[in-house]
Amino acid sequence: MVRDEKLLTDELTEAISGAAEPLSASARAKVRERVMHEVSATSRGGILVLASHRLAVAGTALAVGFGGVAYAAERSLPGDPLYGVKIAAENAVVAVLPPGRLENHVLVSIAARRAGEAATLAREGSGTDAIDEALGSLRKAVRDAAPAEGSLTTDEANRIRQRAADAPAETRDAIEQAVVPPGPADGGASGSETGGAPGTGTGGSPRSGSDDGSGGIPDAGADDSTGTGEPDSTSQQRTREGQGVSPTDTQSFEVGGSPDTERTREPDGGLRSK
Amino acid sequence: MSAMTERRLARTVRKACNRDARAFGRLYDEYADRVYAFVRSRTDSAQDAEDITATVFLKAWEAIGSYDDRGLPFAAWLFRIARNAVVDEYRRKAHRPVPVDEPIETGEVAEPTDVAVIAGADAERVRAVVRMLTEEQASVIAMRFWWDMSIRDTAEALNKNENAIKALQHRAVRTLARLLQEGEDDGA
Repeated sequence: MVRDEKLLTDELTEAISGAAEPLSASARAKVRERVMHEVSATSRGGILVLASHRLAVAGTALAVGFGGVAYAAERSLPGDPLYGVKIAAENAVVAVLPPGRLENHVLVSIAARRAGEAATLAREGSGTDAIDEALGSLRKAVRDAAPAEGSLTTDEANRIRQRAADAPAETRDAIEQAVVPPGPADGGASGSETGGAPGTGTGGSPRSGSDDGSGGIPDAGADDSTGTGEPDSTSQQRTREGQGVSPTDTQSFEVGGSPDTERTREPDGGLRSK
Repeated sequence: MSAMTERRLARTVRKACNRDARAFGRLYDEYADRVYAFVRSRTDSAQDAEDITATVFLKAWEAIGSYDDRGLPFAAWLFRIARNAVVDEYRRKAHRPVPVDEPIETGEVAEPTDVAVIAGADAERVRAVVRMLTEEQASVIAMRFWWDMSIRDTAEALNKNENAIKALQHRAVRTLARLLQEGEDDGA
């Protein structure tokens, strides 16, 4: 009998490939949580957050107070001493989020923050280098928020645009380019899809307006299947009142808020809230 | 099996090398199923396999700072960690030594294998037979069929040349076919 080697290989390939024992969704999530708990603690962000705790303690001793440091960090801009703490806190939160809608919501909120920072720097008359760096950070944040092989949705793009609505025209244009990079087919999110012009804050879904200035990251440990990514109004209130909010407190870590647009820089470089 | 493009994977690995926890989480999402599938094929229980899978990723995180993507492909690097973790677990539990070179097959596969038997084998039966393979054969099966790794990357992971991998795969597949056939004959 002549053996049909080709047929044998195909049948075996199919049988073997389909025999990989799957990891159940619950086990996958359980193992992920276990791994990421350790990873977060020793990541660059985690170490910086740990350092920020120490910085905060030192700050308290200097009568600034932990809450004040955290609050200031949340409102800091690129170039500010506490800006690294703000980024580290964001990274630490994102690191523990499971993939899905909640993570995506947070990443878009972070991109919106970057847009707000660029807008604030431009409004304050910061140097071109600082603004360019902020725009670079925005582009990176947009890349992180966009799906692997696609672009932001119109709603997501509008959420980011809204944060830069009050930027000078030139910066607003640059932010628009970062949010919707020009491509050959110019696909993906576009303001023209909904009639929402860049920076106008119009157009998009009803959600797009509510996200700005109200978003707190929900409990990072929340089940993504139930996480809608909607803001935590309680934590938002706590943040606004500046009541001892830690940048590592995922309940109160505000991402969707708009502190960047509510504070100004003192002539001496210090921060002042309006 | 891979949902990540090579370019995106390379970027994610670079970020993870810089201790970016989120990027490492992405790598977990990308490779958890593959690591588990291999580990499970070498362990007795699902719980052990989950524990070892966690260990694999924690070891990977510890070592990723020294990973150099100009050398070993990432999948091959990760598979080595998984393989070592399985071997460590065997030693820790004082199991019999992992039969790295112990051949299960005896002689040539002379009898024609009934293709219908192989086609009809359910996944559980195939997994049971994979557990009967030598460690090297099972590694090749996992890398080639479950991890979608090329011959070249598989060779890198096992520190062998490509011809050796082809021969190993050939023997592994033949052995699988024979064991499936024998199981069928025994049951008949």
